[in-house]
Amino acid sequence: MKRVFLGELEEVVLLTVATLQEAAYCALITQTIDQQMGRSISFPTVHTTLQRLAEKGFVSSQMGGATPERGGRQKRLFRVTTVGQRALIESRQLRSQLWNQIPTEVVQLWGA
Amino acid sequence: MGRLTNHVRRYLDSARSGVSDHPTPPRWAEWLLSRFSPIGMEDELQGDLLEMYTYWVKTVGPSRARWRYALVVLRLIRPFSRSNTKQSKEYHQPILLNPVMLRNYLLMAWRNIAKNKAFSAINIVGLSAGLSCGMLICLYIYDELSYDTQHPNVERLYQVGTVFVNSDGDQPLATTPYGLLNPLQQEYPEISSATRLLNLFSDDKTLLQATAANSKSAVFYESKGFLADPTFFTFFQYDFVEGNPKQALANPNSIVLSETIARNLFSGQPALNRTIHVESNTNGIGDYTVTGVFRPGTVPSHIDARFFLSYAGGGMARHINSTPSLVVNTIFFTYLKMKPGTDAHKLEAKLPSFVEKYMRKDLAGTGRDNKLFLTAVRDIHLHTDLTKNVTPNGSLSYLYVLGSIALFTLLIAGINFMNLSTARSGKRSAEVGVRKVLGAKQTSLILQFISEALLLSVFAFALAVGLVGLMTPIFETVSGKTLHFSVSQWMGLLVAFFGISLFTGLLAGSYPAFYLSSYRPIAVLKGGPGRLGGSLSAASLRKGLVVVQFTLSVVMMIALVVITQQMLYLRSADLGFAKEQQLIIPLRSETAKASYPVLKQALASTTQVRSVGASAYYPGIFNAEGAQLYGEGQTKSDGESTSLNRVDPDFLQTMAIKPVAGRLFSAAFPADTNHRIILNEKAVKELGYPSAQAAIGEQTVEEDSRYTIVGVVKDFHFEDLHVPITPFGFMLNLKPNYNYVVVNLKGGELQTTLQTLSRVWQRINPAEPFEYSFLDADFQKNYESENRLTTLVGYFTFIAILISCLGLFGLASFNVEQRVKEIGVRKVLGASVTNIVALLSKDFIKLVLMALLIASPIAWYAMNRWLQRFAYKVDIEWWMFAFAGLAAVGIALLTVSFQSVKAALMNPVKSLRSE
Repeated sequence: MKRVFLGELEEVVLLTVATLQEAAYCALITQTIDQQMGRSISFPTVHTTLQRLAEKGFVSSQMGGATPERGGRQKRLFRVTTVGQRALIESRQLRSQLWNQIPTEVVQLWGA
Repeated sequence: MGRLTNHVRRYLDSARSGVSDHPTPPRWAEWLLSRFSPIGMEDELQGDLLEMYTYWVKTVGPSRARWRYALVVLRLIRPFSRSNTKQSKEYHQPILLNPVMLRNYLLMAWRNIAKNKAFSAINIVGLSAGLSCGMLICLYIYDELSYDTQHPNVERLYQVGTVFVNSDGDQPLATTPYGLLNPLQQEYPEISSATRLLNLFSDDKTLLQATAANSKSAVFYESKGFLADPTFFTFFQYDFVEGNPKQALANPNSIVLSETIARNLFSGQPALNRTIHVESNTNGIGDYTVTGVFRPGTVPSHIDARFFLSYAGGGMARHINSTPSLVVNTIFFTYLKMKPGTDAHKLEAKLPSFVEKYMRKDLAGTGRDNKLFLTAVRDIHLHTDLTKNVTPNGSLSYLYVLGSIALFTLLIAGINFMNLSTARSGKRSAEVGVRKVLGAKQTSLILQFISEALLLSVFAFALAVGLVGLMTPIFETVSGKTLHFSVSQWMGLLVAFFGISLFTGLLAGSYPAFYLSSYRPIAVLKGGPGRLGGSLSAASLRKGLVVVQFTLSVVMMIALVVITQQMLYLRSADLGFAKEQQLIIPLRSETAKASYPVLKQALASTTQVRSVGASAYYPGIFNAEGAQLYGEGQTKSDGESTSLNRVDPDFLQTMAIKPVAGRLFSAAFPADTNHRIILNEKAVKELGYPSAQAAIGEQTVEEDSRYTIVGVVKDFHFEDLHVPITPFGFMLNLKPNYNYVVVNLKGGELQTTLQTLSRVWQRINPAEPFEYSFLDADFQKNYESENRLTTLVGYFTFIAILISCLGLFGLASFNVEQRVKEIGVRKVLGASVTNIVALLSKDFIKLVLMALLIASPIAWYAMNRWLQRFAYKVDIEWWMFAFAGLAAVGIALLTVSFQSVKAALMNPVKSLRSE
């Protein structure tokens, strides 16, 4: 089976799910991305991204936690699955591997 | 999924009261979300969005929050969101118009076409035959519709016509007298300019002679010559290769030639300013200077000219100037160019007062009234019905006939296509069943069947284009038209035809597509009557379509029979004179005319010639001369319009025109002078004499001349059989200025006779080529358009029958295939071959008989209409219908029997051994 890739947007959403731990649901994820990354990703986009992640098996979900501010309606809470975790680690490793290949002087020149 | 539990409701209430100071999200959006959320996500989405709304109110303000809420809802609700239900995760839904699916449809279509080669071939051949017919007819119609579109400002050009109002009805003409133009222009300022045209009506051909530098002269006879005013080329568009159209006819004795004539006369040398000697029966003799050469246009025009002479300076101008009356010599085609923004209808409404002012005085003595009318130049070719316009008009009804033939053949071909496809349905029902079980939806099956039909029609289109390419030359000779189209026009037409082909394919393919794809898979796969519900109606539809097909074919067959009969009648009808073995020799130049007495002597003394006569006109060509004749004691207003021909003493005998009273002209009566006349029976009757005998010796008057009636001849057809016989008179002419010599031959070897006559001619007129024609052939020329129609209808009937038979053949073979077991059982039980053939053919014959029943009244009506054009015509008789019907049944039987005999002869063991 061909390897399932993790898109940039998917990675951001997946990381946010991981950050929020047990409390990750669509509205909160959108707001977190909005606040922390200063990047306005629309709610439907996050929604479909989560769907896609679920299709790929990177996240699993369960219902729960109705609160008054949401009119007493249930949330769909997302958790990163083992596959998801592996995908995140892999992508991080890939990046640091590439980072390591850049000569140190050059990285210093960039002011990093 | 219980949505609101009790404790949740409490939350809800408190939440509502807690946020009551906030404006709420748009109600319609909330409603949409609650109704159309993706299935299984109603709860979470509504909750999430409520939270998001609160967040947006905090961050971007309430109004933008409402806006965002609405937008997000629109993106999330069902038809727009990705459907992410549990099922769809497990079974991927193919998108119908996915490129992969499209490829699949085409592949399947191709495999099916390749698998059923015979059926596909019948389909493609039938459809392409229909299409190519349609295309050819479209080309013809397109050409007819493009008449006169090339002239600049053609929408402002009008032709002035005259109506003669007689006691016996109106006679509309496309012409006016010469002098009408100037007063018209003075009277009505809305006319910006005007021009006149006159065809050389007495010339069937005009002699053109050019003398080259080395004094070798070239002589040619040319037809289609015209006299024109200097302004002519500012009205009508001709592409000049030499000379300037604005100046071309400005001077008297100018001539403008077509490129072909110029090339012939001057053998490729420049023609400008060269001199041409012209001898014309109409315009006399003169020398003309070439002031222009034009290239024949590619867009057809109602003025189909090969050369133009300037009107001024010729014999016609001298003749017309001597009679300035505004009511005689109504022979000129007058054209007006209206000023921009003026209304020709308003001008036309003012014309009666013009008639009062300028023509009333002259009209007084003629016993008739005149009306004037305008015809838009663009309408002349198709929308007028004036018998003698510049060139014969096209006929709109003819176009309708052709158009409906095109539609018919296309329809028949389309019906074939539908019939064969539905007929095959039995074989394909299993395929449909399996596909459905495997998850194909009806839409995808429809698409598959339609793509099959489209693929077939693309093949048919390619074949049809090839056929049209092959058939265009044949079509051109049959229709008497040369089709000129530029590359861009061709491309446009091709694209249009491709569209028509696809449309036909789509239309013909859609019924089978919907019909086949509606099968219920379980019933079909059980092998039971899964399609019984539809099958009965489909079978009757198929039968209905066969009836329609054969109705059209039979209509065309009956039409063909009637038209052929009428043409036979026209060819063989007794015209009242002898048309066989009559040779016509035109005398075109003055020298040839002057040589007539010598020529006559010489011709008459050859052994192959029975007699020789001469005249100004002969039956079958336009008899230009006429007069208002009236009897002794009558007044001018009683005058009968009588055609006149001037003949030599032997003309009537040579033509074998029979006297009923009195005598014919003869050399034996030297007292016969130019004031003796012989009338036909019709003229005698119109003049009011009680009998032919009573008219002999009476005087008949024209203006100030008197003629003694010396004989009465039996009515004869001096015009073709479209028109009834009208009054006619022969006058003796002793001066040798006849236009035609008529030679009555004694049978025998034609080739040697012609050689002898040619030698005689060359001896007497060495400067001119020997030309001749045959009287019967000349007379037949009047039926050219009918002859064309016969050939065209013949071809198209053949094609229609061919397509119908292809369809019938397909259906019959399908029928046999379906009943193979039945036939086997019947044979086992003792049925004979005859029994089985009869059984299989009976159904089809019934259909053909039904078609005959429907077709007969339609054909009768249509042919009755067509025959109205002839004053003399055949009756439509029952045997014509019987003949067409018998032919149709015979053809159908032949087609069907091919299959049914094969089936009847089959060994029943073969068909019954497997189940």
